[in-house]
Amino acid sequence: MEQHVLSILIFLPIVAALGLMAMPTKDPRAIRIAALTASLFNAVFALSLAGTFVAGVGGPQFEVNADWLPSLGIRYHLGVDGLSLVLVLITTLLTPFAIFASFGLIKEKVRGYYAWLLLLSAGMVGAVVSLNVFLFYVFFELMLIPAFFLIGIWGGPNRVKATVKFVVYTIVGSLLMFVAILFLAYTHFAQAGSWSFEVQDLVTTALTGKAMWWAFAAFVLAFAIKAGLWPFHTWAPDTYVEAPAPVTFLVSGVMGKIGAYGFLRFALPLFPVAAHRAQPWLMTLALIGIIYAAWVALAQSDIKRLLAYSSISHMAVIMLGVFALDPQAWTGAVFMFMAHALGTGGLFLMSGMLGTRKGTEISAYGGIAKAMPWFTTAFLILALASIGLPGLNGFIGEFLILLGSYTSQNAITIIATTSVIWGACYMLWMISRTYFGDMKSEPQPKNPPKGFVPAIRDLSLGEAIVLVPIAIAIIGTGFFPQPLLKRIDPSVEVSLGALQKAAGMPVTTVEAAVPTGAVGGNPQ
Amino acid sequence: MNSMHLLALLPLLICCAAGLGLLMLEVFVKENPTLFSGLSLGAIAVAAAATLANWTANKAGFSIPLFGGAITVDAYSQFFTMLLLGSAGLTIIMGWKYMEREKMGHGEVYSLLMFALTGMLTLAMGTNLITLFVGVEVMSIAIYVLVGARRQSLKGNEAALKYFFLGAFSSGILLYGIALTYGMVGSVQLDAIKAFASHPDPAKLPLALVGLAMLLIGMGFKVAAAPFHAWTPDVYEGAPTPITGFMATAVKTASFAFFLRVLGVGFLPIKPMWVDVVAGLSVLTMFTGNLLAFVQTNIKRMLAYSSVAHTGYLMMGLVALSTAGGPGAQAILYYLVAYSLTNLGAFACITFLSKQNEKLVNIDDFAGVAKQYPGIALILGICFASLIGIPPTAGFFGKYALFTSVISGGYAWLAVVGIVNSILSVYYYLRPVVVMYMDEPKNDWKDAVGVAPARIAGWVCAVMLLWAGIGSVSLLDIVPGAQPILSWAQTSVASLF
Repeated sequence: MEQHVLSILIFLPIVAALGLMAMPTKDPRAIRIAALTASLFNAVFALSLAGTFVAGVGGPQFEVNADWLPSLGIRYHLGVDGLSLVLVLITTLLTPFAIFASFGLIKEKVRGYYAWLLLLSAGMVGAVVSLNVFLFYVFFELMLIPAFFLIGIWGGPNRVKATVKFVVYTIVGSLLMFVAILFLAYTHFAQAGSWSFEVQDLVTTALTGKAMWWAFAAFVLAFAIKAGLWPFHTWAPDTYVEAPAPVTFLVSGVMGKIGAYGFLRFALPLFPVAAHRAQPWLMTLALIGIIYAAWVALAQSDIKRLLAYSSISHMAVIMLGVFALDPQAWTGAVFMFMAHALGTGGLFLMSGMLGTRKGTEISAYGGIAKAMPWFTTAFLILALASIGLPGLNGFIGEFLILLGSYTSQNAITIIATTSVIWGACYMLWMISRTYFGDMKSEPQPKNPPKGFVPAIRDLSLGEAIVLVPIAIAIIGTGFFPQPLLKRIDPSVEVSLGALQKAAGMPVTTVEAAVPTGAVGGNPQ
Repeated sequence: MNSMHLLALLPLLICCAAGLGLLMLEVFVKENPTLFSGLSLGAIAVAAAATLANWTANKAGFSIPLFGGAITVDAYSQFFTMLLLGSAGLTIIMGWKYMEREKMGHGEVYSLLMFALTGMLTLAMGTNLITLFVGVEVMSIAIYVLVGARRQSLKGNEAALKYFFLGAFSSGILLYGIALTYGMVGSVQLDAIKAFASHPDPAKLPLALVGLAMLLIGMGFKVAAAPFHAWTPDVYEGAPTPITGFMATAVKTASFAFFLRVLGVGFLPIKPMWVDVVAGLSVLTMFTGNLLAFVQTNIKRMLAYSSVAHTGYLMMGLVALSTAGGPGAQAILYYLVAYSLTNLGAFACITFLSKQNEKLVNIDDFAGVAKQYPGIALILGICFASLIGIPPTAGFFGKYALFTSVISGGYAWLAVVGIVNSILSVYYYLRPVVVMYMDEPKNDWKDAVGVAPARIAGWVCAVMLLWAGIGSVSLLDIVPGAQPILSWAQTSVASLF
């Protein structure tokens, strides 16, 4: 059981999706319940995995290593360590929320929608736990197909344009990376005499000169596009705006992180020398992304679009931490995967809820806090977490990232720190225009007909069921980050230590990585 | 000639006999596609059984030269025989009801199909330039007629005529190339050419190279390599849809069997002299196919240009050929399997959706297919994913094999060009998928049900495509996985070098 748990996490949603396709379309209720049940089972398996995950071990756990196409070195090799644990958890735990939040939103072609959603979840988990580069690539491409259909069929008015843009952009990067992977594997073959796509084998394969730079560039391009790093971010706003809110929740919450994770697991460790030398340039790109996206967010009049740019800006903060090649920054970046998925992802979900009220234009609202107190409270918690208010989880991630980045590139980090100010500006400005101030006149019928739903209404029970656990998780991990951090740290130490050694950098330890006490309420 | 030789030759004899028999039968039975399809399928099944029996009767590395070395039955020819028989079988299944609807169910159509198959098998087995030329002609002449089999159709007639004239011209060039090679080498045997090329006589080499250049042009025409591809779109559009599928797969497979044998056996020792030309043609072919496919509105024309592009990918494998066997040839064999399954699946779906007289074959006509025929939309979706090279389809694994082979051969830049072309192709392959899934239905496909066998052919292709992309073993010993096909290709190629 224990060694199969990762396979279950991947294949249970696939089997469930196939099962859904066999159900009659006439009963959407049964389909919804079946999809939710399957995703909940997956979430329980993931929690049991987290429960038995041994903290303090740097290497991969729950490993499965079986032959797939043995003569080619292509193996079915799965494993989870501190870097991937967080992503496995957010993927599997957020999927039920995405499914539940879709109940009221998706009324057409229900069966296909939930089947694709489950396949998306399967692809993302598969990509995150793969320790064979070929297997990773298969899953990395596989998660594109469900997203393509989810956005293109159930998205907003410009959905087709957005989804084609999304797929073409991501495929450009991933196909070039494919050649780089093959080249790397061939180099390993030439040096070692046997084919292998295993990460631990390819790490020892040293490319040099031009070949190294081309291969590194291909990896960087693929993951930078996926993570929405400036200037490869242009697919993101359209996709996030056009996709149905629960899909945006997953795509921005998890899929973008897989781009950042790709750097941590593959792009940087496979090319340590290139990574070290390109560091200032990559960090500069991240810095431009942070500031640029925040400024663009300031100018948005649509809440969903504003959140899209806010998400790009925060992703750039994560990328800054990734490129810093510093243990604190890496730990912060991995922690921030979770914080960003909950915070920004939750905000995207809420923008979907606003969409069912009076649209997502800021100007359509004003002063609705009085009429929707609970809605406003939830929105505020998520928004403040996303800005990085101490006590909420966003703060810990950003703090660690900036602290770690400062030691490697202090000038860039100082400018990057202003992101906190810009974030507060666009977010609070939007909140004040939407929720506070004078209430726009809302013509309410004197005697509402039966079944009348007012446009401005507070959280429904269903919406509250989605939001309350997210808010609790945000506050919980904000006050007690330690359990997560101490599972992330050892893996960061192992991966980054190897990278720093190979790049000829001074090896830093993680001792100082965990801020104690500073975060408040930390039981040590 | 003993019984062993007869068994080795049996598939060829069966196809030839079936062609003649069907022609005779047509005297007594007028239009009966069910009978003719059944008989042809039976002949193909017997031929396949004979091939397998021959395979098990011999050891892996066998080679049976026949008729003084004019043809050789070896693992390589057996591989192509099975692939060609499979393609022909699927073509007949998908065309079953189509022929009835288009009033084409005459014995001659099936007879010509069997003759074309005879020519193709000759191409797979030929080890002598004259035999290979006979194979090319037997195949091509049958196909010229099949393209124009819808006698009332203007487009069909135009396509047949165009193909015939250009084909005749290219055959002339091919023959001239053979003549020059013979003049310099003194033999048309591929072995003799190989011996000549290993120690070339400086006085004779230049003219032999001119001969090779002409052979390349002739073969380039048959596989639709740019700049000899101009016939492709018109002929693919004008031909009856199942025949288009047959041309896109079987004709290309057989031509590549020929191409690979001539370059891989005969002219391999002087590879440095032709490799840059082939690499250049490959690049040109990929770009031509992919860029022109962009602007097509008719799906058959789009797939025609797509087939040109795939010829370019396949030619990358020729660049990676090497004396050590090399992964190039093996990759070509795998890719041909993947490519054949993909295109047969796609053409089966197009046959299913098209209406009488080739109506509803524009990409826009496919709007909303997913609503009415989710299965057909799914098969087409899988086929297009395979054409792009998205896992877990055979097309992806084929690209993996090809790109790895050129990287191993030291042509990493060619792999990059190939991948840039894959990127170019994403957009036009996505368009039909977008139209099928994301647009509202415009048409009603009520009489589509009449061509139901096409649906079966489509499903067979889709299942095999998926398993050939990820399978490490054969499924139920029937559906081959990626690893078995690759090992099979490896054994087959080993008999070449």
